[in-house]
Amino acid sequence: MGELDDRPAAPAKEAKKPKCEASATGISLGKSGPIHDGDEYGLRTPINVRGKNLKDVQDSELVGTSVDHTGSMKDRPSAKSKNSDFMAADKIPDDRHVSSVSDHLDYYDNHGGDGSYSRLQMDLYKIPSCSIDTPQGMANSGYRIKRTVKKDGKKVVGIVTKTAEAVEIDGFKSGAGLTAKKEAKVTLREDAPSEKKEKSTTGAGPKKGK
Amino acid sequence: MTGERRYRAGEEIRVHHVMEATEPGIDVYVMGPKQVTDETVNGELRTAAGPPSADPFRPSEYDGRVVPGPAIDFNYEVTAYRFTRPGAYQILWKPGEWKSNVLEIEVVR
Repeated sequence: MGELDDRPAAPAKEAKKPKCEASATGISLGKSGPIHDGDEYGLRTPINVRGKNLKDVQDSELVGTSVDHTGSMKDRPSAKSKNSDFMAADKIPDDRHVSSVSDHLDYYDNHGGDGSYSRLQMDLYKIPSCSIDTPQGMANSGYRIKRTVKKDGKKVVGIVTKTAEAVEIDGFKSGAGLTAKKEAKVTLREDAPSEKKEKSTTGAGPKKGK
Repeated sequence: MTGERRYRAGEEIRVHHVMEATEPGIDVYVMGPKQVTDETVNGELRTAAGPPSADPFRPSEYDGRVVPGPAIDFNYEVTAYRFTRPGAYQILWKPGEWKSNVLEIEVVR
């Protein structure tokens, strides 16, 4: 049996707080591309969160209600604000911005031709390991997603753009995102209906019969 | 799912909705909260009917992340009911060809 060491213990070193190095500073967009499967069309954009120690960062996407409806899309009801649950910022799946082809052609055909509307988007983050437990607006994560349906020569096209813009959504603010712009242009229909001619009221047109 | 299986008459019953994609190759549209359609109580439709669609979980208009399956989506609106008459109630969510588990709720005085 060994002797007991009854010397006074050396003062314990103060526990070092782990240095908080994780951060989330903005969103850039990867190589994007169009979506068009006949039923729906739009834009696919890979999402890259910028920052440090992203495995410690939780990220959620926030998309605001639709705004700035013009032309035929003025008749379209405003879409509600939506968000995703929080997920690890180093494994964010692609964004899709899609619409129904038949729905957009219906507005084009029956509500006055060309039209557009937008939704604003930004990201929120939490870093529990840094005691950031309430959602914070991410600095440079703001984008405008704009959908435009219009006549283009003999075609009707749908254009979806995602453009960096400072935004405010549901009380959260963000500066413009880190990628300037992504765009997809898709042909919705090959033959745009020709513009309807107004009926003549002068009686000067050709007449059949006596 | 509900918090309890037994409620008092007139008490609010909140129903939470979860969609689970159990296999790879299924896309999960996690942005929400999404509207719940095609929910019945004792066989009677109590929410809006969903639009005819080959895939009721694929929104016709969508902005945001799409998670590849297997995945779970909790991001649906909560539906709420108050039953004033005691008895047994069955709540079923059946979007398109899909059916949820049946919630067997007992309402007592």
